Amino acid sequence: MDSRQFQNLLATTSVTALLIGVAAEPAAACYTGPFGHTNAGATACITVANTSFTGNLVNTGTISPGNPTGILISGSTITGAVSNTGTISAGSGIVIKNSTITAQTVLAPIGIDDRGLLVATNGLGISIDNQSKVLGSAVGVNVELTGTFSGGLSNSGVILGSNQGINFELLTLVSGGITNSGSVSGLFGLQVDSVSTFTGGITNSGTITGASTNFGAGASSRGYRRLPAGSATAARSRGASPRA
Amino acid sequence: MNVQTTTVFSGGITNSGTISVAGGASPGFGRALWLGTSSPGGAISTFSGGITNTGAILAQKTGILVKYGDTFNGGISNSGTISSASVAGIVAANVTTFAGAISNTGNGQILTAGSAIKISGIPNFLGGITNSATISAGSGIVASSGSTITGSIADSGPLVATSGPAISIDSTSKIIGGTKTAILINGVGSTFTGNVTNAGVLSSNLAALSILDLSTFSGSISSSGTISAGGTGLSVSNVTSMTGNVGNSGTISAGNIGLSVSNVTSMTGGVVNSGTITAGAAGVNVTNVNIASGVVSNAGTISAKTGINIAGSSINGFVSNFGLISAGSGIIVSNNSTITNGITDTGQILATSGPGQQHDHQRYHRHRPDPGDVRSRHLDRQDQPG
Repeated sequence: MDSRQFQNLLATTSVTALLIGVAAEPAAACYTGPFGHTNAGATACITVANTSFTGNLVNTGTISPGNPTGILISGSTITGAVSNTGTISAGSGIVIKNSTITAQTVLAPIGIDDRGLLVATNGLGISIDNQSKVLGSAVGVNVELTGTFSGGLSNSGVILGSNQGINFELLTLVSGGITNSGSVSGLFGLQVDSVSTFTGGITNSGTITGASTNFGAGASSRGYRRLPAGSATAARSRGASPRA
Repeated sequence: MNVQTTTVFSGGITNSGTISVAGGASPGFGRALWLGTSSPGGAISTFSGGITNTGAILAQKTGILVKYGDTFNGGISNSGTISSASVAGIVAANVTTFAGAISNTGNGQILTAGSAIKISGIPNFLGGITNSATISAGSGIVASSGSTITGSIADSGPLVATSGPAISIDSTSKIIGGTKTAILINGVGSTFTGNVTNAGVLSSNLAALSILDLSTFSGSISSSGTISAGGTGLSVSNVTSMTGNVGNSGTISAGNIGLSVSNVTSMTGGVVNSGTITAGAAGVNVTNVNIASGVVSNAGTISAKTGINIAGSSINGFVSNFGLISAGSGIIVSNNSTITNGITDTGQILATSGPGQQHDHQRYHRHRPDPGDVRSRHLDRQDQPG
């Protein structure tokens, strides 16, 4: 072996060693069922894949660091709500792919309800693809009382709520903005209310529709009563009307 | 879509899709894109990034409503469609500082039975209002309730106001044009339908209110407020067909001409001053205008180099002075002008310069020529007794 061959061997060996070192960190395991489910402890992530169930998916604990997504729902049908009152810190927060979430009962009227801490470290806070639907009898996607919501919301599917299609309310910081290329509809199609700082703007290339024909009889997300933390069967119930 | 009660909003709002909203019994509904609420408590304190629409905004009441706030940065730009059935296309109201223009350009169209663009209660509106696209509305562009625009209102697109003024500045509002014309309607071949009314203040280093290069102007132009211009105060020029009066019942202070109508192929309507004009050149100028039916008259006060100047024009009506003209020359008619019903003076004409200039009562004269054709008649001190 001449000196050049030796140097090449050293270099190759070093790179291999580095690759082995990287690969030695296994991806964190996700909770994959059964569902409905309430996570009250700590888990790396929750994955709902190619399944159908009736009941809610609730996080009151901590989901971190994701894999890389905190909650991934793909190819599934959920008759119930997805709710976070705990902490999600992951690459992306909640990602919905090719799935339908139908939360249209009195006890579970919000499709995706985030009232906890959701931090997306390098992706979207909430993402709904163009094969998905989030249907809430009151609100389609609600982000409220979380303090900080980062990563923004992207929808290219269908979001429906009788009050708001999308509602961001009572928040300290929202970063990443809201992007819609799908369909959002509700009394207020999209509402941002009582946010200290909202960055990233709102971009719509799809359809946002406000019905607003039944304001007097309608209800605000503020008026919804959130059921006890940890409940995997209910989120909030109806209350009073929003301000004009 | 509604954003309210937010301290800081950055990134703006962009729509290239469709935002639509139906009506409702509550006054708060029917607004497609609504920033703020019906009360100051629901304001967005600082909004930046502006609003851009290249898509469709369809509303029962108002397409875009920005109401309450300390600062709105970035303006509102439309090159899509904004349609509202009743109240307005775009409304900006009760914002302390609105920085950025409101514009309707490109393929933009604002269609509403209400006001196309309305600003109300904005003491610092920095950036002006521009339309180079299509507006078809009950009222066109309205500034009201203590609004001050630093910039201009410029229209070069077809604008049709069906039931109200095309452009209106109320008595509490101002346009400070600076190096821009405060109100400029300038569209080659465009049609403009509706009245232009100023009850507030228009100021500019150039012309304050200028209408030029239109094929058709249907509507009256009137100022009951204050116009201050380095150039011409109120000007209409190069219009093929004009129907409506041009009038001042307020105050015009102009470095050049006070009130000017020129190069109008066919005009039905008069040129009337019942207010006060102070001008460096003519107080009222009518040049190369064919007035098929109408008058040129002064019932107010004109202080200028020439009181009323008529040149190369045909007036199927009369020229009259019921007020006071204090000028180097009182009324000049020249360049083969025709005045079908003659010149009537029942007011006072004070010629302050020229031959026989004297500071005595003879500087005041009353001239009542015989009714009839007056061609190229120069009425000034040279024609007067004494």
